[in-house]
Amino acid sequence: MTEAWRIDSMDAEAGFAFASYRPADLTGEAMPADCEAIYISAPYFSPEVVVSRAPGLAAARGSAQLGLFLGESEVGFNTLDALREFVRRSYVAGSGSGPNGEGSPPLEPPPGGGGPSGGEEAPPRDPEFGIRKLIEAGAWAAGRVEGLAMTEDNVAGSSAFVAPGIVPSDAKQAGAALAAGGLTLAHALISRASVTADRARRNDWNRSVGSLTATLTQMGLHNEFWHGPGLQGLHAAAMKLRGDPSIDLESANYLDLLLEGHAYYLDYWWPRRSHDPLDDLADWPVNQRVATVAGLDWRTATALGVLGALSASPQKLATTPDQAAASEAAGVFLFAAAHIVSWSGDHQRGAARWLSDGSHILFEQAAAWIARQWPQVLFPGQLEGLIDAAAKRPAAQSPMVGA
Amino acid sequence: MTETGPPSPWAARLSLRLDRAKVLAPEAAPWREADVETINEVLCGKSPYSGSTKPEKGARVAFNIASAHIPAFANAGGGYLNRYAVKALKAPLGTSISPPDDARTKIDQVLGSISGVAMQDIHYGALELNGAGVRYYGDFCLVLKAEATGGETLLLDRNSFDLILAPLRALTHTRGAWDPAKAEVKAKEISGTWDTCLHPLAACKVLDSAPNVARRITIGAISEGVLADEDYIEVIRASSFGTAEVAEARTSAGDAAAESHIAERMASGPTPDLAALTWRRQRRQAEIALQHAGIQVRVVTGPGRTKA
Repeated sequence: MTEAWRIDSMDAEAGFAFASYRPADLTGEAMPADCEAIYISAPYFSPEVVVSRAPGLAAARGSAQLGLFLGESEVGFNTLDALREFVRRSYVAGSGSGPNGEGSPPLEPPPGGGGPSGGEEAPPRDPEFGIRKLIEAGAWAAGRVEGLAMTEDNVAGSSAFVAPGIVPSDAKQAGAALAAGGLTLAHALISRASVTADRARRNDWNRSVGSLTATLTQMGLHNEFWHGPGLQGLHAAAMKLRGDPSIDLESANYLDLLLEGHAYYLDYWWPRRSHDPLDDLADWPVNQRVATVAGLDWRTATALGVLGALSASPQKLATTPDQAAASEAAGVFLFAAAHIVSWSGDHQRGAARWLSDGSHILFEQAAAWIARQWPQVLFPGQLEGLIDAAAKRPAAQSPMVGA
Repeated sequence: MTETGPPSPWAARLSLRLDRAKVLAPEAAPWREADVETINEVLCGKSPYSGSTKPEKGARVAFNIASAHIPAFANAGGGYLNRYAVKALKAPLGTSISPPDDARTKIDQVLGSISGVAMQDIHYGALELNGAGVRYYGDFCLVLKAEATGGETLLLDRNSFDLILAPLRALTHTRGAWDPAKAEVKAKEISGTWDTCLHPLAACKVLDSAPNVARRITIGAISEGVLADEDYIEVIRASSFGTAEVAEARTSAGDAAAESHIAERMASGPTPDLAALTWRRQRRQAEIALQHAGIQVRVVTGPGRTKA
């Protein structure tokens, strides 16, 4: 029986695992053999040695699963780095899972059930340069995955992933790529506007629209978004909502801010819910096309979920036949990454607005950040499928609710 | 804490340790006798200042839980889940394999037999004084109220999985195979109930890691002797629990520092990774959920006792 690095127990949601170098022995008649073991956990996934397998086996009496199996056999990894990367990617894939912010549920899907058209206008456009490059990176990853296989003893082959560059040389292209992602999110928000009397739901929507508008100004996308080619479609999508007599004044004002872009410095005075940009991303729903590309439940998928899913598995951008959907998903992914970077001290918040090549700088920094999130190791399709599964936990309801 | 009936084996073991220590270092014997008294007082929650005893300041049962799972735990209708409950709610990554007699089941059977608790009802916790529990099992430590633990609760002086690993493996196996009868004998030997064995069992563990010198043991050393790193006193709880049973939640200084480091880097650069940002957000959501449930979160900065 082949010795390999194998997982003793793992909790992908929590981001920890115990592992040991051994033959497969979790299901045999004999008790597991003793040997040195290691522990890996979020946030840094640095392996630490534990003196025996006892803590790892004991962890499987709680939230952690016992071992990792494909078919009837335990999975093995040929290096500890590969095992560590599997645990990390499984955790990152589920970044958008779990409760949404402070317990607020995700915005409701559009009336009519949200079919392929999603009840919203899909802005037709050719993918911008940066977005095309993201999809090409995904295709590169997908190609590497296809070339990998599990051995007879279920030990995973693996390959390094070297992401191709995605940064356009032209600042205008950079801004257009970022604005495309913002436009996709704006459409999704408008399609989920609720004219319900439920004040909490209206407040959630208002807050989401406000934070998206503030983000667009902070990213310096005033020209690309409010004077860009997609705005007309956005106005058309909002027409029905603006004409609805039951939309309240506050929501109508937020909608106007999003459509008209008058508040050029909105990001300065917009009351952020927190200092965490992930909260904004969790407030922005995505349409069904984007959710499908990312492998998420469209009813609860958000920009945060898309960021997590595509950071863990960029090959998803290239495995869908719907190229328009892939472009939209790549745009949302890029916008989400840029939002995080634009908040960071790296970027000097607001710099994108003041510099003539601000959008380009932001794009470059977002691309560098994306490159650090993407897989360091790729696995055969069967294991990549497990990482995909880690992304699918519903956002607004942990499976443990109602136990 | 009163003992009823004949002295427990643990009281005899404690006496043996004191006798052995006296032989090895006669000059330190008075300090060891005094240490046992201190350990007992600390376990009871007796204040060295006022002399009053408050069980809520003494040893209690703790369960570690990852921040990712706290919102579900704290939700109305939630609760702490063992593996049987988790299995009923969600599928694992990969194939769901449930060997009928895997190591966990074998241990559950032995401990269930000793404690009289049905296997599906067993929830494994740890005895804790002033620390943040067993960090490996989760970055938050839920400390139960003193009254949430019954006198018949079973304790083991170590992780019960030590029964399958060397050197105890030789005593729980026959010709290389798990022997439930022998395992039960050994498990009984390393266990006891809360009301009869807590003090001598914990005192044995603490003294085993303390130097046998002419100096008094400190509260911090007692706390670390009870639970340190992956070495703990296992508690077999007979049922799940919810927020009503929780006295407070603790998190370690190390995790709090890591969280702050991530936040500081977010403010000043370089931008943290998505895994780090996700972890920080999960911890914040966990604290929000605990606050809504009326549970205070405390960062443990040292093993010393909080002033009563």
